[in-house]
Formats: sequence, C-alpha cells, structure tokens
Amino acid sequence: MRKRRIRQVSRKEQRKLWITEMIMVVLAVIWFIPVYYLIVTTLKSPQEATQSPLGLPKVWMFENYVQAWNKMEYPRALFNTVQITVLAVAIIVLITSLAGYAMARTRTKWGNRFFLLFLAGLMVPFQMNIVSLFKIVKTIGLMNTVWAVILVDVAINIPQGIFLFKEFIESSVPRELEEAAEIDGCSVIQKFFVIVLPLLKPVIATVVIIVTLNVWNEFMTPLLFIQSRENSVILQEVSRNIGQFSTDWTALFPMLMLGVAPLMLFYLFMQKYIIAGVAAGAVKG
Amino acid sequence: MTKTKKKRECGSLGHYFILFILPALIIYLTFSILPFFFTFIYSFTDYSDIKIKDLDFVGIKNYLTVLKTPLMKIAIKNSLIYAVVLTGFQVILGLPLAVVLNKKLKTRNLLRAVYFFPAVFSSLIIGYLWNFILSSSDYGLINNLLHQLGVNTVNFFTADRALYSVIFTQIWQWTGWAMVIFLANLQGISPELYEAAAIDGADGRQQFFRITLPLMCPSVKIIVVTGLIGGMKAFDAIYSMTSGGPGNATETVMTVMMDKGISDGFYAVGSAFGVCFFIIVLLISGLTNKLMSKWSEAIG
Amino acid sequence: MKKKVLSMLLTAAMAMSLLAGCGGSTDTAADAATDTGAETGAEEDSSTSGEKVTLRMSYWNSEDTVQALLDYLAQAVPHVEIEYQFIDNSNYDTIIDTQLSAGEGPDIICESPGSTLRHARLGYLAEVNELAAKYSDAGTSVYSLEGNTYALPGISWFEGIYYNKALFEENGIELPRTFDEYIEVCKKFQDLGITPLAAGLKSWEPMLKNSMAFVTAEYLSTEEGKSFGEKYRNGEITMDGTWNTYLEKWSQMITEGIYTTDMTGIDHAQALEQFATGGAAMFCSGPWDYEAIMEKNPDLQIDMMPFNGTKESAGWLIGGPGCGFAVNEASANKEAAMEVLAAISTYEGQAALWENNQGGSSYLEGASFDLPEAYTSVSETLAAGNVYCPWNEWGVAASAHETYGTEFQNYLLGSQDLAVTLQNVDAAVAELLSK
Repeated sequence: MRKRRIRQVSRKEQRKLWITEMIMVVLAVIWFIPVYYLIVTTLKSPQEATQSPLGLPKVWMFENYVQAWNKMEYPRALFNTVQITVLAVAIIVLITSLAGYAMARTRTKWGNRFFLLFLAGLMVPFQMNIVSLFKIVKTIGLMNTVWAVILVDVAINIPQGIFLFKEFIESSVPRELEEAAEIDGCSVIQKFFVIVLPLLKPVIATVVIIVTLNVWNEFMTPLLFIQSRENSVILQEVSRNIGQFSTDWTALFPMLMLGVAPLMLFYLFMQKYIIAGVAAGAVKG
Repeated sequence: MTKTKKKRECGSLGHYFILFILPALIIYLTFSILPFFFTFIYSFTDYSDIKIKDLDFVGIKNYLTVLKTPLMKIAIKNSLIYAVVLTGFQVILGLPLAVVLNKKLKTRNLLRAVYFFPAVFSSLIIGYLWNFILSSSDYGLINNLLHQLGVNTVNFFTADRALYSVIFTQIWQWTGWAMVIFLANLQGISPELYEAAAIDGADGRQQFFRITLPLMCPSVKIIVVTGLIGGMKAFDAIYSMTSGGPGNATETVMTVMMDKGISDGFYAVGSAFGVCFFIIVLLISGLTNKLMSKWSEAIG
Repeated sequence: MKKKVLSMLLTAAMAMSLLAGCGGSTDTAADAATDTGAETGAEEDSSTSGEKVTLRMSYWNSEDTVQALLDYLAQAVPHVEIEYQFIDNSNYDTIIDTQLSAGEGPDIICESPGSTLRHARLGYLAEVNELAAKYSDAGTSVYSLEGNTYALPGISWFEGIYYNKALFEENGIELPRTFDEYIEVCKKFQDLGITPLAAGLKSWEPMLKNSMAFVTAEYLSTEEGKSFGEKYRNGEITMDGTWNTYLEKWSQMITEGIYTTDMTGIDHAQALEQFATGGAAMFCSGPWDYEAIMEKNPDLQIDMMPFNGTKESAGWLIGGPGCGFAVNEASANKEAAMEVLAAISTYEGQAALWENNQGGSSYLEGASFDLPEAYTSVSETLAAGNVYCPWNEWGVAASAHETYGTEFQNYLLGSQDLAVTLQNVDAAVAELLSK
C-alpha cells in the first residue's frame, strides 16, 4: 500500500522533495564545517592554516600525525582506552539488563522503589563526591588500576542503563512469551538468557552506544584514579600535550583528531544501529 | 489455583528479584550512594582542606553559606539559561530535522550521519576546537573569514555573549542526538494515520501539527527531561571553553561548586552545595515530568 | 549482523578482562613499592642494579619543561626510576589534594608556596630542613612553617614584558622608563596601526600580573607598603582603601585602549602567536614561553623590559620561587625521594633544572647562571632583586589571586567599579582566611 502511494507522488511533490533535499544538504555542509576544519588543519603547515583556514592543504603534512602518534604513545593509550571502554560497556549491559528486567517484572512495590533509587543517580553530578569516592576506591585497594576507572564509570552509567532496559522491557517484551517458557519448565535464569535477552537487542545497541560515548569521553575518572602513564587513556594524553603544544596548532590538531578518530570509526561501524537503536528503549513507539 | 501458580502469574520473581538486582546494586551503592551519603554527612561538618580529622558538627551553617555565596545568583541564572536554551533548541531544531530526514530523501542516511556526528566528540576536544573557531584573534576561523570579507572583529567571549557562545557549540553538538531520538519515535508512527489525513485533505503543515506533534510526546519528554538535567549538570563544556569567565560571566552552579567546594578546599560547603543541587534538580525533573505527563494526557 | 557485533564485543570483553586482570595486579604491586623495582629494572636492562625504585613525581607543567632534570636524575640516582605525572594546572590542586587526603599521591610533589603551607599543616609533607640549609632564605622562607621547611625552591620564575626589538627600532621608539612613558609608547604604536600589547584576556592571569606589578612599584616596594602582605594575611588591612589610588592610575591601560574588551576572546596561546608573528609589539610573559615564541618565528629579535611605576627606577618583575619540590610523608619510598631531592640540590641538579627555565635564577647557595641575551633589558632589574610576587605573602589566602584576576576581568568588561572589584577580592581573601 505504501509503495503504491510513493509511485503516485506527483511531480510537484517530487520537486518539493528535491528542494528540501538541497536545503538539507547545504545545511549539512555548514554543520560539518567545524569537523572539516579540524581534519584539514591537521594536514597543513601553521602558515597555511592561518592563510587559508578552509582550503584543502597544498602540501599534505602527514608527518604531523607521526609526531602526534609518538608523542601520545598512541598504541598504548588506545589499548588502555579500548580496554576500559569494552569492559565497562560489557559490565553495564549485563548488570543493568538483569536489574532492569527484575524491576520491570516484579509486582512488589520494591521494584519501583529500587527504580527510583537508581534514577536518583541521574541527578547527582559525580564530581561533587570525588573526595569520598577517592577514599572508597583506595580502601577497596583499586588505586591506580583500570578497575577503579571501570567500576566508577559503570556506577555513573548504571541509572541510564537501568532506565533504558526497564522501559523497553515493559513496553516491548510481551509477558506471554515468558509465561509460555515458564510452562515449558524454564528456570528464571534460563528464561532471561534464552528468551528475554535476545529480544533486547535494539536496546542493547542503544546502551552500548550511549555508554561507549560516555566512558570513552570521561576525563575526570582516569585523571583521578590512574596515576601512572603506563595506564593512561587517550584523553589524558591529549590533555598532557595541550599543555605542551598549546602554541603549536599543527602539532595539537592531529592529537585532537587521534583522540576522536577511534570513536569516529566506531560511529561509522555502528551507524546503522544508532538511528534504529539510540531511542529504541526509551520511546514507546 | 495453587499458591505458587498464582505467584508466578503475578510475575513476581521471588528471590531472583534480589539476585538480578544485586550486581548493579552493589556497584551503585559502593560508588554512587556511599559517596553521596558521605557528602551529605560532610555538609553538616566543618570539613575543609585544612581540617580533615576530628570534624565538628556545625548544623546548617554550610547551607547558609551556600545561600549567601554572591556568585550563587549568577550561577543559578546561568545554569537555568543554559539548560532551557539548549533543551529548547534541541527540540525546535531537532524535531523538524527529524521530520524532514524521515522523508524519502536520496541522501538521508548520509545527512543523518552528518547531523549526528558531533555527538561523538568529548567536551574536552569540543572545547579546544571551538576555542580556535571562535577566537577573536586573527587566527580564529570565524573572525579570519570575517576579516577577509572586510567585517570587523566579533568577540564571542564578552560578558554578554560568552554563555551563548558556549550554548551555541552545545546546540551544534547535541541537536543531532535529539534528532535521532525523534526519528526513532517518528518511525513508530503508523503511516496509515497520514494517509487518512491526506484523504481528509490535510496538507503537510496540518499533518505535522495534528498527527506528528501529539504522537511525538514520548520522545519530546525524554529530550526535555534529560536535556534539563544534563544542562543543569553541565560542567565539562563550560570548563574547557571559558572556565566560568570572562569575569564571572559563564559561572554555572557546577563551576562555582567545583571552584569553591573543591579547588578552594571548602569541602563541607561544597558538600552542602551538592545536596542543594541534588534537591533543585530533583524538583525540576519532577516538575517537568508532571507537566509533560499532563500534556500527553491532554492531547492523547 | 547484530548478533555478530554482540558476540564480537563479548569475546573482546573477555579477552580484555584477562589482560586487565594482570595489568591490575602489577599496578597494585607497584604501589606496594620495592618488589616491582626488580621487574621494572629487568624490563629496562637486566645488567644494571637489581633493586630499582619507582618514584612518582607530579607537576603542572609538561614533561619537556623539566626534561633536562629528568635526564640528569636518571644518571645521578640510577637506582631510582622517575615516573613523571603531568596534571594540567586547572585540575592540579584538586587531584593532588584528593590523593593526599586519602594517604595516596605522588612521592615527589611540585608545590606552590600556598599549597605547601596547607599540606604541611595537615602533615602530608616530610620536612626537608637539612637540604633546605643549602638554599638562600629568600627561596625557602615561602615554604617554611613553624621553623620547618617543607619544599625546596626550584628555579625562580619571573614575568616581564617581551618586546619586538625590530618594531621599536624601525619606528624610533625608545624603551619607556616610567608608566607614563609606557602609555605614550603604546599610543605611538596605536597611531602606527600596530597592536601595542598582545594579551590573552580570556584568562585571568595577564591583568593580575600587570596591575600587581604596577602596585608593587608604586606601593608594595615602599616603606609604607612593605608590610602589606603580612597585614593582609593577618586580616588587619584590606585592599579596598589601600590599592585604589594606584589602580585608578593603572586603569589607563584600559581607558587608553591597550587592554580592550575584544581581548577576552583571545587565549594565551593565541596572544603569543600574535606577538611572535609580529602582530603586536609587546607581550607579557616569562622564560617559559621563550622557546615557543622562537619556534613560531626563529627570526624574531626579542628582549624583555620590566614593568614600571610612575617614577623612574630599575623596574619590577612579577615572580618568585617557582615550583617547590616536596616529599610526600606517606610515601613508601621516602628515603629514595630524599636522595632525589639531594641530587637536585647540587650545582649540576640546578643546572639541569635551569636548562629548561633559562633566565630564572637558582636559590641554591653558589649556583648562578648567565643571563641569556633575551633578558638584557631586565638585567638591571634582576640585579636589583626587584622580583616580587605579592600573593605569595598571603598565606592560605594565596589562591585568591585567581579571584583578583577574574574580578579584574569584570572590571575591564565594565560590570563593576574599582572599589567593588577590590571589595570582592577582600571578601574572597577573608573567606579563605576564616577556614
């Protein structure tokens, strides 16, 4: 039915669509200028960057990247960042899907009580607790390990994860399926992993995207808990070099670029799921 | 019906409830609730960077200090402007953007990608990048272009403009995010509704106001609530672009709290600040939630 | 496809957790100190000494500003491995305070005078009296509390006015000897269409130093003003009512359009670039920026002039002991840390430190270095000892100098008059003193 309508779209409407498209493309080009500016500047000499800020580089200065790569000890920093992000994301997905499920399915008032407790976390900026947070991490003995960063980042993101999972399960996972499984003799744990979890894929994608961005871009926790350069993450390296190269654009911009490049790749890779996924859990369609 | 059977139908998970919640709860209690609890306690003591042991109870003195802090008024005002303007633009720009990019445009996937892209940047990097773009020196991208056009320097960081300059960069960064959430919502709206409206003779604009807008309530609610909370909590972007300056023009609740409560070492006052902040945000989000629910009831 | 992505993520997560597991355990071991020494040593080169101690040292300037010192230390104390931790200025105090209050933190800490006193009072720092005896009092006094010294002064810092020699010579402009002459010089450049002074007023620093230098020349260096700092930290005097007349005069910097409101959109690095590329005749800064300026423009000929008061004098520079080296009382390797400090407290150590801070002077008895050419015009000022940092005397309220800078931004932007500006600073100081 839909297809037929599209074929029926009149010429006038087609022209309107085409004009809309042109406007959107022009807007998108303007929208993209800052990113384009970041990218082309990384490949220019300082003089050229000043003279023609938006032109394409005349000489492509790839050596800017070589210097940035070495100064940042990039492979190590990248490995640390990826390690922290992947682990934090994996933990978040596992524990908040379990908790969200429990809260969505229980009918005791405890479900809602716990839910509110978790949601309150959204309203507390974690920065205000850093002094006591630091003491706790030290007491547990996690100081200067990646686990300190991972667990704190997990804690920061728990409210959002639980919110997304609970809402999604309530709105989009039919109870009937689970009831049928239960009659077939599935245990609760089996039921969750075999029946429910596969149905959560869209919202898992959402949580993976949001938490990846949050954890990757979190600057304060690594700064607080990772003291040796051995364990430092990409943003720490960027910040270290901003101090050193603040006067030297062409050295600094490639570092900014290397700082976001992995996320850009992640984005390109996950792009398909992002549109479908980002709001899947939250919006009851 | 036996008792167990009944229990199962009610969906109660029994002891599995606590088992499932436990991992999240332990981490959350340890790294979020416990520190907040300490913060709460500290807010009634004389804890500071020169008094860390044998703390004395001082009642609500710290809360009075918070209320008396001269920067408080500017900070609350700026935070509110920041949260409301940013959230407003996310909706005003993001919603039409989503509607248009939901149409059958040839390049729509690419367009969506471009608009969403800024959301992947960390605020540290956004801060430095826009610093270069908005600088009023000859090396600032915008002023450089203006100079080439023969226009005089525009300073984006005056007392009046600085806050809006920062907000502008954040609109650039987060509108795409809002767009994606609106898109997901739009895709859930059945096309039959539009067809019916078209048969009734409704044009595009009427369709938007009669069908799209009312049904977009859930996603608008999400953007408004999270946008306001996030806006009130905003710290990184402001810090990396203006650090609250020039003067106190861009101080927000968070920058004041970090400066007074942490950097200057008034930990107890900072803690009281945090508790007040929590209550304010709680009230704002509760209120927004209520209003939005009313709206959805009214049009739903 | 989705399934594939998820399973990939899970596999990756598992692999990572294994790696994180061992990474984590080594680090805890590193905290427990000496036993990792063998490990790190073995990693470096197994032939040399078996027992290598790893010490962490933190500083708010990046590694390259102390590179020569680090190289020197690697030779002078070969059994110590220094792990350098950079924390940017705006986060430095927060991070260090947090770490120290939990009994953690770097073994060797670079401290400002203000934070040294604060940390010493809380017992976070070990006394370094024995080594401090090798330094002059001028250097150690700001790090001393109740008869003990808690940090060793590094190379001093000073800030003056770098100027572009060619621009002055080509236009036949003489170096100013008084504040009024300075204003005249600036006007001449303005008439020539050249920006007289490049300033990154997005930061609170430039106006702080510039105005305080003027007050130092006019008041703080006089008999009458000498005790201001002491009285101020004891809460016996306020800035409002004392500094007003001098700052009214200094405000010509603003009324004559030398400092403009447009400059609040420029940061320090951009101002530096403007000066280095010949876009401005002068730029207030110190030796730490020299290399950056010369890198931008190797052909630039620069010299430094001092700040002047209304009367002719040798001029004044803002500055004092730079970062002080302190030892963490809670360090598991206090002895090794002391050895490092002892190595710094030698002529060679100071020379290595000076290498990356050329122009500053050492407070170590008997260590003096030649002044580089770029400071010819301030040699008289330095010889007269006219280097002063007013807020170093404010005790625990020293950090209020930042408020002073921000309040002057407000003043520049016209949102308040001078009296209110100074009252706000007084209020911030009073609050800090009340702690």
